[in-house]
Amino acid sequence: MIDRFVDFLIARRVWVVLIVAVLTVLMSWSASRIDVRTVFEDLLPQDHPYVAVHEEFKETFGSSNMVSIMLTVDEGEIFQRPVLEQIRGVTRDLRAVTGVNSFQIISLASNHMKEVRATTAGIDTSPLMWPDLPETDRGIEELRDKVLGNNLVYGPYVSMDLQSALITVDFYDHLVDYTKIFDEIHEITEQAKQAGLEVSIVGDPILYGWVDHYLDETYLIAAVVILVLFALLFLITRTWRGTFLPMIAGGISATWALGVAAQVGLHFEPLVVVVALLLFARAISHSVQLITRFEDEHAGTAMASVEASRRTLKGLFRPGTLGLATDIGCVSVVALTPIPLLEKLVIIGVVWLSTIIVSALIVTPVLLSWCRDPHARVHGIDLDRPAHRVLDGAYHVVTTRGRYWLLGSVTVIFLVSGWYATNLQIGDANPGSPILWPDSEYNLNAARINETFPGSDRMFVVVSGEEDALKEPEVLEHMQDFQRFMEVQPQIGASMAITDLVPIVKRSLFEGNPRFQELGESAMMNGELMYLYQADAAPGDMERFVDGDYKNGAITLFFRDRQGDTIRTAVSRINEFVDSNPIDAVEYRLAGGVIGVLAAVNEVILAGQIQSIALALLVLVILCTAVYRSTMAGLFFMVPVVLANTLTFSFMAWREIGMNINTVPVAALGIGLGVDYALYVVDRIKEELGRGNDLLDAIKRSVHTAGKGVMITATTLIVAVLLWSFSSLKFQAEMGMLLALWLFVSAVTAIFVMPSLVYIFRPSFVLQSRSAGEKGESGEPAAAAV
Amino acid sequence: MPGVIKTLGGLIPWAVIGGLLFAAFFIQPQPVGETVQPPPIERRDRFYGLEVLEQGNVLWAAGSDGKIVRSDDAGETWQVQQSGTRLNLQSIAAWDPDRAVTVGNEGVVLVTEDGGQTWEQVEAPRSEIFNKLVRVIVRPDGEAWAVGGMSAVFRSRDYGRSWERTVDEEDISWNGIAFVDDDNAWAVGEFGMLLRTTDGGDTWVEEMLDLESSLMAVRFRDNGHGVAVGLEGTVLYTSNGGEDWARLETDFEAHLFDVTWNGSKWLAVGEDGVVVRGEDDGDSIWNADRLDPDLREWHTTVTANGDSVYVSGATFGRLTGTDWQSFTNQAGERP
Repeated sequence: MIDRFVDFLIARRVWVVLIVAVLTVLMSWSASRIDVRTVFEDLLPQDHPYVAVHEEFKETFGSSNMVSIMLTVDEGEIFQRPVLEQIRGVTRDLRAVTGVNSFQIISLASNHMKEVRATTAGIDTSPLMWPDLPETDRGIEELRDKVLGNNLVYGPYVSMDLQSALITVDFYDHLVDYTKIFDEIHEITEQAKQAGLEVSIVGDPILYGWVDHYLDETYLIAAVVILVLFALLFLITRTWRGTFLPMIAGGISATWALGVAAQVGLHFEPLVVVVALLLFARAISHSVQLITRFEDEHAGTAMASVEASRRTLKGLFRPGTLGLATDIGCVSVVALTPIPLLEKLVIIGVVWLSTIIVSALIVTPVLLSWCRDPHARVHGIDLDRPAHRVLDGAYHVVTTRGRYWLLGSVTVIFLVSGWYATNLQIGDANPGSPILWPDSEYNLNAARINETFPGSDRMFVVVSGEEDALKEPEVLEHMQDFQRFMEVQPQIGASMAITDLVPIVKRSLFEGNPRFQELGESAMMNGELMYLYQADAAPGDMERFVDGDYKNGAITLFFRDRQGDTIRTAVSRINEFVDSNPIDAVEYRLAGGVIGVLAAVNEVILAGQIQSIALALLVLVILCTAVYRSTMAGLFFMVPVVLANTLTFSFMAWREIGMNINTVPVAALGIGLGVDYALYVVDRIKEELGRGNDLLDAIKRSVHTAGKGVMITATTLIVAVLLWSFSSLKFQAEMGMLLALWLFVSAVTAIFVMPSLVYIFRPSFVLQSRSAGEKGESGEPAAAAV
Repeated sequence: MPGVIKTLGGLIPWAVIGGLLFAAFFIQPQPVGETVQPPPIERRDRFYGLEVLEQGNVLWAAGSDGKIVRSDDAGETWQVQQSGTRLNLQSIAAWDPDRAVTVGNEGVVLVTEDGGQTWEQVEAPRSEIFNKLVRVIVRPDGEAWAVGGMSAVFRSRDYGRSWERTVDEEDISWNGIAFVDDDNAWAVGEFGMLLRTTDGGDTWVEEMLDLESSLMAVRFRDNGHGVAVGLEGTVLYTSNGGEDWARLETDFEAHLFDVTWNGSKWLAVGEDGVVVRGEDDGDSIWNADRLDPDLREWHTTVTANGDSVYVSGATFGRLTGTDWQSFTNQAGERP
């Protein structure tokens, strides 16, 4: 069947090329309009209970878009008029930023910051520094005293050393535009910088703003990577076809995939550029295999190019499609992790890999059929000989006892790396954002803010009950116990809830006597205390803590970092507390805010991890079993995949790259991508055996042809992806290294390990293609036939 | 035999597939967090009451949420003691390192006879309307006095095990009590009210001063000189055992919550981190300072022992000269 299909394609080669060309032109128009941006909702596992709680309460209790701006004076305190003016200026100007939730701009200068004091008439809650700044030195001195005496301000919004003030601002999810927020906030804070203040800004919108900021650089590196690929292919293959055809294959696939993605309305995450490169590399690998085979068919014969192309296609269509099919199967498994980003990525990935069947497996040989002088070389630098020396080495290993050593060391490497891989962190492995370098402006800012203030990343836990439940002393005391319990964790800098407000109001009712700084003893008392506070509160003031009918209250926890361990510990401590302190009146609901959402993402990734790996391997086993009609084949091809995975996971554990929302796509796609090289090599051994060669000869030929193709692609791609190390985004640099490692391990396994495995274990699915008469062993006597 | 091996070999792939299927559908890793041990003194703790014994080696504090902590090495290390209550404890006093009493919200009274290994809740008179004991003091021979809301002035003569009411119930809060000698004592309370006994506490008489501010604490030194402090910077001074109280001129208006005599000076603490120092002469100006320049927390207890003064409240520490050392920072704050 393959034969007829191939003949058909080669016979109508002009049509094939024309159709592909027209489609590519059409798709390129569509692909050029693809939207490159980060959409936060895509990162959220929508059916996770935490995310549901987050969605329900984010507008009042704090979304995941919170940005913290810290203004710091070099010397002295912030209580100087020019500094206070800057704090007020920034606070005021933030109201004009795109998508801002103007009820949730909080600082010393906002009307949320109040002093609660008792007067003869009752309680007076007056803003500390709103709408006007204190005019006189005495006024400033009074303000300073008020701040120092107010625990809701001194600590959370004014630093303990009085040198820094914090401004927090929240954004509506549906209006968030990271690039605009990034630019506008930097513009607003510019004047504070001019005034000599040190400005530090953190928050997810700013983080993704930085990613966007480096988008041009990302494109530049991608362009350089492609140029270098081009140059390396030219150097190594010494032919124009060897240089252009792989790039054409890669280009067609990319255009089609992005075109389809744009058509169905998917956008492209800037951080996922690395994944695109990974897929681009697949197309190149396949194309190079075909070209190598083509040259091999030509070798020493005067065969017409048309015939050579036909043979190439016939020979490689099976391993090529099988490789791509396993890739597609393994990639599809990723969609089981219910995160929209991953699901969308899977669609792009599947489309992309499918197009490689056309762009590389069909277009490359079809174009090769026009090749006029297959023996001509463009330049004189011959890297063939050193390459073949390496390949000879691979063959040598198979023929000597080296193969047992190799097998032994592979087993040891597998065991050791498999054990070490268990150190892999789920979630971020270090403080600061893993997307950026530790010394990047953003991470330095984050470290500074988290050192000065109780923590810039928040999680809110919702306490829900019947109407007025949040007035019950039992409930409030339970919440207080919860806060006390949670604050013990060192990474939690503070917590805040209605329980912190009520005692302050009560104390001021009792002449400011701190012996009465406690919750009311009845629900009615607590209700009155809250009412007193709320009486002249600004909109959004009370809503930060509790909703209008006192059904739902928030306990906000301030985190100093967002490492996977920190979040896991916090979540398990929350559950521990709720389990050991049962209460009927209310229910604790996890969890909103950026940390709540990350907790959900990490849990989903953790739960999905073993499942994805297992299912990906299953897909591989089933496909190989089906194609080679041997369960052994399935087992056999697991070797390179499992090895590549344990090694990469070990690498991630070693470099402290956590499994998070950004790395999961790369790691998950990689699961399926280790097998192609091995398929080409083993399939060629099988094919050579079918032509009547003995096993050793078959291995030798396979290593020098298919193996050579593997070597060419692996070397060029490794050098190219390592260029990502120069990226300003640490994430891309690390993913570059990860891909390089992947390619390296897959290539080495394909060239060195697989032939030895075939020789040692003589799997029947490879050997049965030997012509019936030649049952006798060839070469060395069988040492370990199974 | 080779047949068996072959069959086994054929089974391996299926075993692997089965294993993978099992892993895919049944292995659900659960998030595991680290365990965290709470420090003895946490950030939310407020220690309303404090007792210091043995030249400052034994420190005993009681406070919010029924928490009692003790240090036997001058504040180096702390042990949390099981009080058995979640009510806020307002005051603690000890006869010796083994025997102590603590009182608090809802009229709770706890006693120990084993240094706090076990605390036992004991009966005390209760009001139908409101109960809150804010201060307890101890006297020789197992006598103790506790004062608080609804005119609570309670006496114990058996190391705190049983209590009797000595003043009829009415709606006045008594905040502090001190003895001049075995017979004469004063209690201070709301709206400048004073309570006096001349018979060792069997009968008490109310006295009114021309004062609107509530008085929070009173203390006498051995020669009949005494000081009472209160809200809005009120300082009253007597040099004759309370026969005459004179209001001292001060230049501060901070609430003062407690006062002590350290052997050479009077020291009072209050809101906003204030510490007030005064001479024992009845006319020189008392000066307000801060325990630490940027400390603005309130303190409800100050007590002198050895060379140092110990202060507790929203923060908790030792003042030696002008050097403030916080136990809160040491034990509770994050590095």
